[in-house]
Amino acid sequence: MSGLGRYEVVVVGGGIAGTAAAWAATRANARVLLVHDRAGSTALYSGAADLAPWRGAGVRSTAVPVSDELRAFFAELGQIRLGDFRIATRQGVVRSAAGADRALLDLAPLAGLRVAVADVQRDEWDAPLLAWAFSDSDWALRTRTVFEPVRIDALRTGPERRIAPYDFAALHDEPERLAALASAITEACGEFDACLLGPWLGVELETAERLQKLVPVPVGECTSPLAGAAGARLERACAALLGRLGVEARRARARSVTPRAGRWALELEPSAGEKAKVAEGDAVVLAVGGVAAGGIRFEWAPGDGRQGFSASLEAPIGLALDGEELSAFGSLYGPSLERSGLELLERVGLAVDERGRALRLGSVQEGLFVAGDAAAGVARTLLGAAESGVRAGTLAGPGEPAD
Amino acid sequence: MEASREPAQPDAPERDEAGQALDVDVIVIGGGVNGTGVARDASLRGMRVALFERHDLAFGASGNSSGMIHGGPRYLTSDPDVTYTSCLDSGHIQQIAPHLLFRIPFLAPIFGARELVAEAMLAAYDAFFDVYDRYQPLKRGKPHVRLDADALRALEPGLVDGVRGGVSFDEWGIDGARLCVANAVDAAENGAEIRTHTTVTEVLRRSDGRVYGVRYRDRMSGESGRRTAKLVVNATGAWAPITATLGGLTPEVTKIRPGKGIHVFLDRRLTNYAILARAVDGREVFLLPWQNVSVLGTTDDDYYGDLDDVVATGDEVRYLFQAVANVFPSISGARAIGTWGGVRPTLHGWGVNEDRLSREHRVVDHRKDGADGLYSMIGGKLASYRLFAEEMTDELARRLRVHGAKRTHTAKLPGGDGSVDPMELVVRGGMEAVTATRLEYRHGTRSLRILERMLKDPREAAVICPCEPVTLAEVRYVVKEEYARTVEDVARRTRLGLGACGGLRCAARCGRVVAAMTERSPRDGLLLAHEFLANAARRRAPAVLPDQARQEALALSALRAEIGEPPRDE
Repeated sequence: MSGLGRYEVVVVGGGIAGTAAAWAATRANARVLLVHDRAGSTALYSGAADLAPWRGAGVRSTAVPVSDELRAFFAELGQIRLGDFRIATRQGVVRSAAGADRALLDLAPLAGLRVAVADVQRDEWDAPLLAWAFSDSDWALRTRTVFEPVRIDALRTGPERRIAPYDFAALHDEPERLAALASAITEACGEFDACLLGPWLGVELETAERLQKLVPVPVGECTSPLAGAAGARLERACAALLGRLGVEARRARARSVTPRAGRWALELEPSAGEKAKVAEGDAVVLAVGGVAAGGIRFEWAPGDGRQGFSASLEAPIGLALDGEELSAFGSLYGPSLERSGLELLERVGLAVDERGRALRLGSVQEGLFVAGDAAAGVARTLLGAAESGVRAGTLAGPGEPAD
Repeated sequence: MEASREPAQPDAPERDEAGQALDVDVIVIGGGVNGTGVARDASLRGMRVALFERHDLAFGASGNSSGMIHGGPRYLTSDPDVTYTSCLDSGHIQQIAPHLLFRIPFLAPIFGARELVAEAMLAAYDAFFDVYDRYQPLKRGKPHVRLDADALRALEPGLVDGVRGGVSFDEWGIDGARLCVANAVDAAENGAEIRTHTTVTEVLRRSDGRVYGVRYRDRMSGESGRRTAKLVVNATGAWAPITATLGGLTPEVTKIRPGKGIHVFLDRRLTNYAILARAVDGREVFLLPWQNVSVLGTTDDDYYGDLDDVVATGDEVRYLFQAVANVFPSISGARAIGTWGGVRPTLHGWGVNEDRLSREHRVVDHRKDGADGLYSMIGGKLASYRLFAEEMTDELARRLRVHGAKRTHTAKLPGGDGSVDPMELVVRGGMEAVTATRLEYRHGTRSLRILERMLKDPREAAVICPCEPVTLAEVRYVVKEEYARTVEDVARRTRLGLGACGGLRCAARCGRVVAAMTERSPRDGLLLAHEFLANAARRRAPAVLPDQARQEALALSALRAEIGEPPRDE
């Protein structure tokens, strides 16, 4: 095995939680290594960010205060604004959000005004139906905000009707194409106070801003689908932030994390033909994601002896469900989702205490932390994941006294 | 005039208890294949028919079957008449709805540690299928082929080692829900009234016990009323005993042995041949290629639960996987994207294992129970539905002295009158090839009507459900012409939302389209979507395997982000 060097904090996972942890650790003057493998939940998010889970229109959600550290993190990240937003979703719902990608149109300041829903002839986008649905939302009815479809020519070729939303968004990173879209919008939306588009405003970070400069009224996106533009942009923003912070980032899959002489050894999966690499850290933050990201695996395979849930890497940490550490299920075939419902998949995570420290059979594993969806008991929200990342990164840094 | 050879029988009445003329000739309760089959046959013979279905057409066993109209080779030695009628009627179904049928060739592999035993088994199968071959021409099936181990493996390399040889034979696949809908539409085009989501709350009887109509309630609109008729047919399948009680009869008058059967469907075609396997209890199960997915089935267990809510269990799913894994090991890595379950209304027999019950059908005349004018249809198989419906309609015609010709074995079902080349849909409609093929399968010649919609309004060519794929034009068509009133109904007719994404991308939009077309609000449309998504998730949960678990977790967060959780009851 070849050694990669020693770090004060090693972060596993490059999603929002891992990035927040790396940011917080850097702020605490730690030398940080971040290891990431492939896209998880962060890269697939919708563009709307919550702290407390959003339950649905018409359900009052409790307002949760955003900490100063979290605010500072997002201010530096740049791509997500925090506040009290009204966002239009791709499925025709108007919802509140505690955070939103900069490219999304905030409807809150448009209360009582007229919003054009761009009628672009893409298969996935039915502007008249969406305008009808938005108009019937509680918010629109209460504020008397009007949504109307407005014909906008944004397609150049037949196949553009059907290409994936990500690909259609990427087309608009190209300045000429973006300018054409801007003039089409400006021409069509003369009588309106704002223009709502589909999730098409580029995979580069500045595209939406560039468009706004060319259009006289507020213009922005609705939410993105899985594997859409918003997630792609957030991925880029996280990578850019890590670059600015000078955090060393490596593309690799973490195989195991083991204690070694008071520190932690992280073994990375070797690339073809190479030897496995090991990085050493005083502290490790596992931000590998939950079941949705592949960080926690669900399996019932009685043949090879594994059943139930397991972490995607070997680590001295237990799994927990609803506050209790899992030992084994009473069935070779693992947990019964039909009884508990599919939501069980979101409630399983790595066992942690209230400070994010890893637990195994009830005892704290000093220097090992978990952040984001990987941790049991953390709200499955983007801002919640970031918050736990900031906390874990701060605790993992060298300045924090051991408890 | 016919000679009066029949025993004297009270006439079907012409008036109700208040002396009013009766609304219709026949009321059919139940919108499965038996009910819609009778509604069609009776309408074609000139009778006025009203059909009431508590849920949706094909909600019960008809829409949850194995998706085959097989000839029942299983009954060859125990009940050869059943095999004969199944094959004969399969042939008729081919004639009247050729677009709905597709070939499913089967492989029956043979194992055996001892060569002699394997040889003997193979010879036995060969002889057995020689006999079945004689029935095949009835349904345009091909004769079987005896295969040695190498030939078998060449046809299906995924078979486990140790296969000694086997036999291939021929069956037909069909979408049972499409068949029911076609029957209902044909009935309506011949004057029948079809009411879905409308439950019968009472079967009306005069003081002398004579049945003369029903009281009903539309469960979606709340509208209620009554419809009077000369004769009433209880074609409610597994619900038959319950329906009998609505007329004041005891459930025993329509005694059935309800048998639950489930199926699992997997995200792709894993084989080009259907493969038979033996489960741990000796039952025969199968893996079959069904259009763009694979189907794993089936079970047969006595069922005493809620017929309105039949869901597969993890036990049943694992039972099937385990069985097929013995002959086709790679099934263990396959991805299940859903299950469905239905309850067979099998004729009752005590002390007999479910598999060995008769699959015959029987018309019950409740005159013997004091309820003259009420009939029940018990038992039956999808493959011989038309014959069963014909027998029932013969009796109705006799009572009503109607002399229309029997035509259901030759008159084409809607969409079956001719053939459409999917390429025409591709070229004229700008559709992808897969979209066109699926559309043509479901609608036959009527896919041209859907094409016309797209040509009139190009917006309707949009593909709403990319997994299946289903266009906006088709969704609107099934709402307008095929009695779809909810997202579930649309899914039953088009398979929208039943693919790998589980409705994530299409359910909310479909709900709003349905709402817009049925004069409801957008939020009603969203409720329809939530209902569909919740049911679909319950059907998927028993079969979630590791890869699918990840997809489910992603879908949960995506749905929460975009449409929120379903509203809880206050």
